[in-house]
Amino acid sequence: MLNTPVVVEVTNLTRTFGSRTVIDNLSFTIHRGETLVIMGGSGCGKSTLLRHIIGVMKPTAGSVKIFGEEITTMNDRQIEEIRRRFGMLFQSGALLASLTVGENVALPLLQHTDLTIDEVDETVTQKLQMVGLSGFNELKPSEISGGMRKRVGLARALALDPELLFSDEPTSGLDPIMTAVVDKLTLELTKDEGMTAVVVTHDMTSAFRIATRMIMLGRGKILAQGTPEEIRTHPDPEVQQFINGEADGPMPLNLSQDDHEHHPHVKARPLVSARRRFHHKMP
Amino acid sequence: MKNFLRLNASLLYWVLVAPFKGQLFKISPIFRQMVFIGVRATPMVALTAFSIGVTLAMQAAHSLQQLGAEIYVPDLVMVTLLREMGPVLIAVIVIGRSGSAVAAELGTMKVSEEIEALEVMAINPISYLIVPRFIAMLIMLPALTVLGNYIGVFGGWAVCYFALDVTTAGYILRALQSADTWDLYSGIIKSAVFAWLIITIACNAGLHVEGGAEGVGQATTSAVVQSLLAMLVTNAILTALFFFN
Repeated sequence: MLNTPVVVEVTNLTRTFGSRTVIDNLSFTIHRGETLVIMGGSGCGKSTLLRHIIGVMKPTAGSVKIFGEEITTMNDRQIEEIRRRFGMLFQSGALLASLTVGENVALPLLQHTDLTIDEVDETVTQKLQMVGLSGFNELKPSEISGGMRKRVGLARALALDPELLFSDEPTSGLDPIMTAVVDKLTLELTKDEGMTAVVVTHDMTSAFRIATRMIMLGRGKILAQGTPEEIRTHPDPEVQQFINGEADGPMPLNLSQDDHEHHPHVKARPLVSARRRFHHKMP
Repeated sequence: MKNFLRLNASLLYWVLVAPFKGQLFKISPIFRQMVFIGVRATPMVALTAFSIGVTLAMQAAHSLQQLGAEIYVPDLVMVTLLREMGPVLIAVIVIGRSGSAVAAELGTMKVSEEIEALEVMAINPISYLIVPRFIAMLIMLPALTVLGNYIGVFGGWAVCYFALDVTTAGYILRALQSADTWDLYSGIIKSAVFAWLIITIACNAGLHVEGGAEGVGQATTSAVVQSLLAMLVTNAILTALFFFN
């Protein structure tokens, strides 16, 4: 375990949606300078976990401390204070469609700092250069590709030089070269600037390249955690199946609708009745 | 309803309280919204108001001619326009044009995680997105109403001048004599209240969209329907308060 101070501390975190437990009594800590990779199959609660750590969702039980402060019981004002100290890259990039690429990156700077317009411009140019998108300032998010949007999202997340960066699938939709560029950037920032990174990813190449520690989630629990070496040689066959990307193994192929967190109210309707409804409408 | 009241409460906080705590809102987004909500709506408002003025004058002339009292046409146009038709019909235009656009825009932002992204960047969506629209609407709808009143009166004049035996001077004199300043002010107060209703209903619908493109469509429709209903009911209540007691 590292000797640097604890940045994020999750203790006994539990979240239930109705009768289904999405996050089941999770506990872990993240130290300064670490890159923690959170992996797991689709719908296993990775994004939900991330949303609890950044305070967008409130847990059913348990505590989340960021920079030593409890985020689950904070009011909006206090959460805002904490959020200025970390950056978040969304799965979709989540750029503001009405602003240009440059304005998107400038947004946190304009809102939270007293920099002059020239200084903001300079920072924006520098951050866009870091993600390999110099000269794209004037384009709208709708005019660039999904992978570019994600990189702009990364530039925006890094605009305020955060101490802590959360990335939700930073490399999905990027070509292998850009994946390497983004990974190298994460490594540089954590090694040289002492930033802490929490990365949720499916991309095993990228995960093993950047991680200093890995957590594998399954059914809301931690299946395995440790250094990349420990994970690579982990005895659990589920972990091996996942990191090697094998179709056959102990992991269930299909999740039933009840297992998924987002639509607890939607009842599965058989196709037959849909067909009947369709024909009913026909003259 | 709970969401609606909460939105109103936080809007009031960000407009009235926060500036005194050093969290000033920025001016330039307000102007951008004013152009969008107000300036770009002027052609439609002008056409609507002109048509209302012409229609009112023709209907008034039809009834009053039988009594030989067509000199009172300007009175009728003026009072109806300032008190009722101006504020209500221009609010209808703004609901159809800007209320729906605001609901759809915010709804799209909600489903594409943009609002969540703002929150995570420690930018309050109410102060960043809603306050400029709110202030712009509160300024522009009464302004559009005043403009519409002018154009409507002009439409009434066109009927009187070209189709009836009323001179320009006679029209202006009668119009000014018949209308009280209170007629104008009551219309402006009404349109300010409508502005409040339209923008808060539209923003509330947009901010609570769920479920993708379909949800955005539903929110836009419900924003239009709800603000129309709220506006017409409020209009009846305000007329009762202002002129019927």
